[in-house]
This record gives sequence, structure tokens and C-alpha cells, in this order.
Amino acid sequence: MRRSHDQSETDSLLRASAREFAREREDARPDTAGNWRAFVEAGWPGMGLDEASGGLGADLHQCCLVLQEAGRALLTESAAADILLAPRLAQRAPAIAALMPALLDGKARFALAGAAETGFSLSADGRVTGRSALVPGADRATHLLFLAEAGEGARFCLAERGTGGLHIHPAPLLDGRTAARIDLDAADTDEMTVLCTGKEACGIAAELEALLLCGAASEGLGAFEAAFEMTADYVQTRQQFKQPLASFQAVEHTIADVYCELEKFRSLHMAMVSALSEGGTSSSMAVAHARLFHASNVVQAVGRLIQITGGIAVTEEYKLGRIYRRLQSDAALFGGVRRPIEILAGTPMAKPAPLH
Amino acid sequence: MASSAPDEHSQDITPMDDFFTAEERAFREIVRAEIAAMLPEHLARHTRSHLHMPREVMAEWNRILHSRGWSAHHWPKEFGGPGWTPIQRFIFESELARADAPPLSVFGIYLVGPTIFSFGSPEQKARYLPGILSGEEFWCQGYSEPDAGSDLARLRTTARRSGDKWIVNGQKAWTSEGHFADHMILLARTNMEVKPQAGLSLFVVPMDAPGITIQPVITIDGAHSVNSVFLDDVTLDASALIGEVDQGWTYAKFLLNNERTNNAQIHKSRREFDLLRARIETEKGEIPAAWRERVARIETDLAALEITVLRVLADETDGREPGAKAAILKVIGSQLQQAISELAMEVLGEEAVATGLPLANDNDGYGAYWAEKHLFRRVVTIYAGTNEIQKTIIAKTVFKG
Ligand SMILES: Cc1cc2nc3c(=O)[nH]c(=O)nc-3n(C[C@H](O)[C@H](O)[C@H](O)COP(=O)(O)OP(=O)(O)OC[C@H]3O[C@@H](n4cnc5c(N)ncnc54)[C@H](O)[C@@H]3O)c2cc1C
Repeated sequence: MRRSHDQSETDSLLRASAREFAREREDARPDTAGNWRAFVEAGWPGMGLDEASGGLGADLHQCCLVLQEAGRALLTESAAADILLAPRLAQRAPAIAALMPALLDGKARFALAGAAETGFSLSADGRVTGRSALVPGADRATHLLFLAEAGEGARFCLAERGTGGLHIHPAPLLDGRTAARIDLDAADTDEMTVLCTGKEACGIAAELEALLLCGAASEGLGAFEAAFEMTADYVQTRQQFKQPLASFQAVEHTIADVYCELEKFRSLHMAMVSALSEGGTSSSMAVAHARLFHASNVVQAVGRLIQITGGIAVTEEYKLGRIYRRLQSDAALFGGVRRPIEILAGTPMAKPAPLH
Repeated sequence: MASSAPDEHSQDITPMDDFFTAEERAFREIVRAEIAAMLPEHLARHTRSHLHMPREVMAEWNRILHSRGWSAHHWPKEFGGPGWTPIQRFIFESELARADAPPLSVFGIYLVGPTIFSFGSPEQKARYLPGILSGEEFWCQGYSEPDAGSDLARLRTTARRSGDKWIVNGQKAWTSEGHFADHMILLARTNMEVKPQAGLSLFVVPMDAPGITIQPVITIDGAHSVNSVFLDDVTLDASALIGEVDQGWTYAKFLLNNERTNNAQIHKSRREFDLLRARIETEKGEIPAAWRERVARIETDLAALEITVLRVLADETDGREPGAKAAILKVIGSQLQQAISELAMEVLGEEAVATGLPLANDNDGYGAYWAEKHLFRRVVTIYAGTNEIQKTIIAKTVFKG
């Protein structure tokens, strides 16, 4: 298990190149034609795929570190599903493995339609109906993954865009990203690929959801780091009463408090990535810790950074405000904080259960 | 947002009721009925669903209130106020909020009017007070500058005397409503020789004067309510000066002290919390377990703030000095506003962060309204003197005893 975010030299090199790549794209709109092309050429989609399959063979820590850099630059392109989900699935499902060349080429993009809204039910004649939660980036996915029904009869399915009864409703988010809600209206499983069934289907759906939360938290960590650093710089530069803001104790204490939050989040994030890498029994708790912290403490901490920056921080063009909007959006997605609270403080029965 | 009737539970029986006399309660019945009769539904609807009020909305309501003599309810009678006691004013404000009446522009009614009737010349009173009372003329406040925020006294805009004129040069930052105001109340440096606070003066500046450039500033909520205003050799008549030259700081401070209870925004908070609560209860049947404690705590904080404001007003009425408890109102009021919007964001979830989606509970824009409000609310602990600065003032007041 890792004990530092940048433990190996490869980690640091990867971070440096991802940072530069992301910085150059800081203001690119997600719908810019050819935007994803650049990610493809930089090797992002195949980041976590083994080298034999044409990927870069990065481990989960390294994939998350790249996402952290995407978050730091507030990239509006959602890359988490492609980077984190596809390689995991490719090991388990031949149908997905067959799509890897298209993924590497940027032609196939994935999204997991999470079940937070109504979930998807399966009829006796194999038709799926239901509505997903909002999924960032699902508007541009070519392939959608979802779990139809829980329990014994569950099926984990892959449906291509264009499948009859599959509707993708894009919605702009507060922070400039686009998400989509996936509606399935009696969509026929015969037109889809059933990747696995029963317990295995539930297990894989839970694992992939955990990975998505992990990806979001990684981006959130990068955004939080950027917020902290820019504020620490600003308060040392801006003068009022003939001295830098950083010389006022109220400002110093806020910086110290927020720094505590940042280091706590780094720790929870690292533990989550480790747990998910090992597939250990502690992973659902580790994900819940990081998720709860991401959706509450981090948002509040960035609110405090806005406070000590003053008026400039509430202008549209100042990045700190945009970071706040990003984190506020993140907090509302993936079912908010309800599930982590249930896992961490719910009934004893709820504790060891998988994520949903 | 919800056009359903508001939940009445916390507004009719509150711990505050025991603070009111029978006459005050009777007064409340009267203003409640009159406001209900006067307020057009379209204005109430607009107030429930919009954060930044356009000029037309504020002007229309101002005109209606003016026709009843209630537009400047905290002004003394001789200048056009109704002559109410501080407690009556509190009740009236609470009833306005309860009816979803649009807020009036703070600058004319709360800032400029009192400045002019306290320090202005007879000509200024005659020229400007009627327009403020009727809502025909709008004002903005030109105090802050890019380098003079918390340290306002170090502002650099200058007003130089030239014959019987003043020539103004400089840049103002954060001018709320500047893009639709008719006049600005400007704080400018008139004396370089003395210490910063001592060399400032207040002026009236027509916003259409040659040499004024207004640049929109878009805020975190994506809206345009503030501006940068550039003043380039703007020429003012001698009559533009308010009061005495170099006394601007004293006037500005006097007013800040004067308007302490308004900053708490208690009535607005109470109203929006009641509506939010009603919305949750309508949609989910009851407050879900996860938020009960938060709701109970906010309810308690609201009561604490309401009663504190009333105690300050009672002190004011009886001529007691409220001391530090007047200074805390802005701090606790602004924190409470943020706590309420944080709760709203959490409860509304996806509905608040996604726009343009047909949602399960048919999207009526309530979520988007809260998101905008929540984002803009980061400013309530920053403007009108940041909370850090306020806390320093509170501590000093406490130590002085
Ligand atoms: C939306 C909005 C509308 C506004 N409308 C108007 C308007 O209409 N007219 C107008 O004149 N102004 C207006 N303002 C300006 C407002 O009054 C200033 O933003 C405010 O005074 C703070 O100044 P600043 O933003 O420059 O922050 P700074 O003064 O730079 O402060 C930054 C941070 O440092 C802290 N700090 C500074 N000094 C100290 C100290 N001595 N001790 C401890 N902490 C300290 C502050 O508390 C703050 O947290 C508006 C501002 C906003 C954001």
C-alpha cells in the first residue's frame, strides 16, 4: 500500500505532465470539437489499461493522480469513467475488452448510469425501465453501463447510444460541466449486451460506483489544492491597512484551519485509493469517508477561502469562485451525502453492506 | 418556485409574541391586511423567484408604498416617514417579508436619504428626498475601490476644487445597482495633507455625467448586479458636496452605526426558511431524518436573532445603549443566511445544480433560484464590512465595557 501521493518517480513525472496538459486546456469547453482528441493523443483513455492492450499500465493511484490534475485545472471534460471504469471492466468482460481499441482511439466513451434516482427495473420479458441520477459526461458517452434490478435476477448491461428506448437528457451543471440523466423506457435487453448477472452483476455495479466516487473525489482534491494554493498566495500579496492580509490573525487562523482540512482530505483520499486498489473489505467505508468529506467539509473549506480573499473571489472570472461552484455541484451529485451517512452512522446492519 | 400558500406555523406563534404589547399586535393585524391589499401578485411572485431585483420591480412597489406614506418607514415624520416606533418598524418589515414584498433599493431609502436629511443642505433635501420617497430616482454607493476594501479610508479617488467646481478622478469598485442608478453617493479624497480618514468628502454624482464609464462585473452566480465605475475628469457643481468638506468619513460612519439592525436581514431569513421548510414538508411529507437536527438548530438560531434584534430595538426606544449586542447582528445574521442556503442546497440536491432538466417534481426553477442565491450569499459575510472586521469591532466594544 502507498503511503504518499507521490511515492515513486513515475508518479511525479506523470503528475508533472498531466499538470501541464491540463493547464493548457483550462478554459476549453467540453463540447469544443476535437477537445477529447487531445486527451486521446495524450493517452488518457488508456491510462489504466495494461501495456499489452495498448494502454499506459498506470495503477489506480496514478490514474487518480491524473484526475487530480484535471480537477486542479477545472477541466470540464469528464474523463473519470473512461480512465477508471473501462480497464476494470475489460478484465472481467470480453465484450468490453473488445471495445478497448475504440476506447484508445477516442471513439468509444463510457458512462455508468448510477441508480440514485429510481433505479432500473427489469420486466419478465427482459425489458428495462427506469431513470438514473445525473451523471457527469454521460451526454457524450457512446456506451452506457447500468444495473437492471438488484438481487438474484440482476443483470449488468451495456447499451449503445441509439438503443431503442434509451434516452439521454443532457443538463448543464452549475459549474459549466454537462451531465445527463439516462432514461430507459422498456428498452429491450436483447438489443444490449448483458455483461454479467446475479450477485456478480450487483458486485461489479457497486465496485464501479465506488470508482466513480473515487474519481470525483480525486478531481475534488485537485480543485481544493488549487483553491488553497491560490488563496495562500493571494493573502500574502494583497495589502490592506498597509500590511498583507496574511498578517492578520483572523486570516492566519483560517488558513491554518483550511490546511488541516486539506491534509485530512489527502489522507482519506489516499486510503480510499489504496482500499479500492486492493479490493479490500474496508473499501466501502473508505469510499464513504472520502465522499462525505468531499461533499461537506471541502465545500465549506473553500467557502472559507472565499471569505478571506474578499470581494474579488465572488467575481465570475476569479477561479476560486469557479472551484466553489465545481465542488458545490459535486456535492449534489451521486446522491449527495445520504449514502455515506447511512454507511458510516446507520444501523449496524448497513455498515458492511456494499455501496448501494 | 412554489406558489403554494406558505406554511404559517412559525410565523404566527413565535417566542417573539410575548415581546409585543396588545397595541403592537393590533398594529400587526392592520399592516398585514393593508399590505395584502396593496401588494400585486406579480410582484410577490417575482420576489419569490428572483434574487436580484430589477429597477422596475422595486420602483413599482416603492410607488405603491409611497402612496400610503410607508416607503421610508424608518425615516422621521418631518422627512416623510410614518413616525413609527422601532418595534413598529420591526413588525412592518416582518410583514413585508411575510407577504413576499420586493425589497426596496437599500441605497436610496437606507443610505442616501438619512445622509441627506442628516447632513445635506435645504436645497439637497428638497431636490433629492422626494425622488427617494417615491421611488422615481435610484441611487448607488461609490465607496469601495480596488485597493480600498476593508481599509476604506485609503481610497484614492480625488475631488479637486477648480473655481466653483469639483473635478473628480478615480475608480470605484463593486458599485451595486450602478448600471441603473440615477445618482451615486461618492466618497472621495479632498485633502491629501491630513491623515487618511480626515481628508474625505461626500458628493452627489449624476450617473450620466460626462466622464463616467460603467463596466459590468459578473458575479459568482452568473448575474450582473455590481459594476466598476470609472470617473475621468467628472465635473461637479459646488452644490454636489454634502455637508462640510473633509467630513465625509464622520458622516459615513454615523450612518453605519445607524443602520445596524437592517444588516441582520432577519425577516428575509425567517421567510425563506419557512418557505423552504414548507417545500420540504410538502414534497417529502415531513422533514427527513437526516436534516431534522439542522432544521431545529436553524429554527433556534432564527429565534435567537429575532429576539436579539428586538432587544436592541427596545434599548433604542428606551434610550439605553445596546453596545456590543448591536454590533453582533450583522455577523450572526449573515452566518444564518449562509446556513439556510447551505441547507437548501443539500436538501434540493441535483435539482439545485442542474438547470434545464425536466425533473420528477416538475422543474419550477426553485432549485436554480436557490443555487443562484446560495452562490451570491458568499458575499453577505464580505460586504458592508467583512465579518472579520466586524468581530474586531465587537471585541473592542466588549472590552470597553
Ligand atoms: C457583491 C458585492 C457588492 C458590493 N457592493 C458595494 C457597493 O454598492 N458600494 C461599495 O462601496 N462597496 C460595495 N462592496 C464592497 C465591499 O464593501 C467590500 O468588498 C468589503 O469592504 C471588503 O473589501 P475587499 O473585498 O476589498 O476585501 P479585503 O479588504 O481585501 O479583505 C479580504 C479579507 O481580509 C480580511 N481582512 C482585511 N483586513 C483585516 C483585518 N484588519 N483584520 C482581519 N481580517 C482582515 C477581510 O475580513 C477579508 O476576509 C460590495 C462587495 C461585493 C462583494
